[in-house]
Amino acid sequence: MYILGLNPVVSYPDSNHVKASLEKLDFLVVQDIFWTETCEYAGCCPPRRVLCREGRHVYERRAARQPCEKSGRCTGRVEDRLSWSLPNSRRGMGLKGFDWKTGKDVWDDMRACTPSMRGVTYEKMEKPESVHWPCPAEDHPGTPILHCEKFACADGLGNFFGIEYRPPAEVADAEYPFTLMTGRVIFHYHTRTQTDRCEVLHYEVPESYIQINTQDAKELGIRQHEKIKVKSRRGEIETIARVTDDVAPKVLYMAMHFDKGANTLTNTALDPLSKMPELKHCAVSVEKIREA
Amino acid sequence: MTKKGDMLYAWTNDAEIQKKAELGGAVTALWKYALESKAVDAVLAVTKGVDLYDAKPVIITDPKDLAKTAGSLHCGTLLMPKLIKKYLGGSKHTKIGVTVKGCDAMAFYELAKRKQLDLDRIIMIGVNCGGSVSPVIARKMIAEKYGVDPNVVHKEEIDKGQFIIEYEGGHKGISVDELEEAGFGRRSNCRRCKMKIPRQADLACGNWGVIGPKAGKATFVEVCSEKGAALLDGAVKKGILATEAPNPKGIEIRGKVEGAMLKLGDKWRKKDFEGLGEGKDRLKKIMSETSRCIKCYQCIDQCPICYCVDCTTKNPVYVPPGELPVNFMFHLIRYAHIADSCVNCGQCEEVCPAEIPNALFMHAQQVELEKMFGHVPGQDMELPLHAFVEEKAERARLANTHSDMIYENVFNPVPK
Repeated sequence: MYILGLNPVVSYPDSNHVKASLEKLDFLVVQDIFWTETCEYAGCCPPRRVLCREGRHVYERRAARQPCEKSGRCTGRVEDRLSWSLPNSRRGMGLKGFDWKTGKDVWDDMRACTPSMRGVTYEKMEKPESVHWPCPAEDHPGTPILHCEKFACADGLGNFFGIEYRPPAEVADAEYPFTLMTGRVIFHYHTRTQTDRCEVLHYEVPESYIQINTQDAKELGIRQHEKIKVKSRRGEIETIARVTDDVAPKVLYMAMHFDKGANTLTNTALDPLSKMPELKHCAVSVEKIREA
Repeated sequence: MTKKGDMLYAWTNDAEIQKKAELGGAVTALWKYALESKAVDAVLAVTKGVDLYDAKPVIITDPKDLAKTAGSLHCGTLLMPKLIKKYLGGSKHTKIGVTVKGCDAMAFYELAKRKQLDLDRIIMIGVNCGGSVSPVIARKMIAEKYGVDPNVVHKEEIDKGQFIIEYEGGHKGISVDELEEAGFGRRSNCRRCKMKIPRQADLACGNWGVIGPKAGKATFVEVCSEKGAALLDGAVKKGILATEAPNPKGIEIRGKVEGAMLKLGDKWRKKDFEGLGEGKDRLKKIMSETSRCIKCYQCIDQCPICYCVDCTTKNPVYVPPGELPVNFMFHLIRYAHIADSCVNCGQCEEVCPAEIPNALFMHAQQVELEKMFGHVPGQDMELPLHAFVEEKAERARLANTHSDMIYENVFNPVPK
């Protein structure tokens, strides 16, 4: 298996299952710009190389692309000016057509094969307002807000239709009486491969925590910032309790960014249509850690 | 020989500079002379980046490169002194010449008071500044108010109260008042600014007051220090700069323009500060607006007053990490540490990704503190309360005495 820029040990549901499966592989290559938890399972990790001298573009969630001017601190060497992981590995495999010289070359190749980005040129990104995708052509102004004019239906109007409620695959019961929701925090991105290497962001949230309702905490005798044990049918973790009324009683919230964190608990059940794992809902139990 | 207080018209004799520079090219010529005579090792100036709306700081050591810094960019919102502190070793090892706006000049003094810069190694040429326009606002304004594609504009200027653009096929001016009524125009801090002619610099230059045959062909120069006088005399002696006495009527006009700008500044202050309400209403407004903060620390990073190595906002006792909305103490620490010296440069607002009117809040507090304590920031080397102690020495004193009473020795000097 060849994994490129992915850290499934942290980001996939049921981490224990992921780890056991990775161990069964004959050979695993993990290529990433930094060492990740998944690299621990690899037989080979090609050298990390990242396009940063040349300036790189951040693909924001709000769907505008913004150029990051040449980052001042670069961990790579100067001759790695264009040492993007992709072209190097492909060249190494004897593939042609990857003789890019600048970040712009890489970008232009990327947008040539991505219809929604085709019109997102370097020049547009250098303007202060940048450009919002989808931007299918160079003369297209970009799309700051989707579906302003019409929806992709025959009459251009959005269709509302009723659906029958189906409960999640796993719901709270006597043994696992809490519902765990998962999500993100603003200070980290995905599995913290990049953000935890940033001193300021590491300072804000250096380790995982779980939000628990004041009433539940009181009943279980859990104090603010106490380390507690959380279990599901798939695994157990220790994490810090944040006692708050931001979550309802019997509901817990945990960010997905941390190793030995939320995804040790989550369920692999897939949505039948979208095939999205049921990451946002699983049944867990909470207990105090007894002093030895 | 000129001396502090002298005023004159100046222009360059240098054919190369004449080709590129505006208003007689006096500033560019002075920098050329400063570099050639080794009065400075480098000049920090602003040049055009990817387009007209992108002001880029540039270090010039070869006089031949000065041409690219000629002219003004009103969409430049940079603050130069903090760049020198952060990236040029605080001028401790290099003699640097800098072209400054009023806010730059004020920030230089505040950083120097805190020993973050060495003014002895800095030469400042001040330029009159009526205010700058944020790039995004400028582009939107040109598209909507002027009906012109901002990408085809090749020159902009502010003259006689108008923001004027030149583009392929024409030029167009609209009064700044009208633009600001429509929510465009200058940055909010610039509207409130009352430092239009930066006399804290060594020379204060501009086009206000240049009338008669020299109008548009010379720069009005006011000599503000002995250092400035020496630079000017040297450039004249070298033959790169020519000067003449200014038209007395011109001096009068310059005074009138400045007076009008200051009056306008007062008008905006009144409007902006009254808009904040008073007492608890003001506090509520500030608390509600700052609750959008995502703790990116950019306001602290860019602030010319902030210099501490260990910032109190990163003390978990005061501001619990990892929590949003951020504890209001984060902003209270900023106000407590900065407001007495805020020069209203607007950086904290310009860079804020949450678009919090940080500069307005800080400036509103600064003017109140000035009324109470009489300290005027950015004017001279007079120290504010917070500069009475040196950070390292004060931290050492606190550690040695196990005290948490900051400034105790300032208020109650230790008996001998």
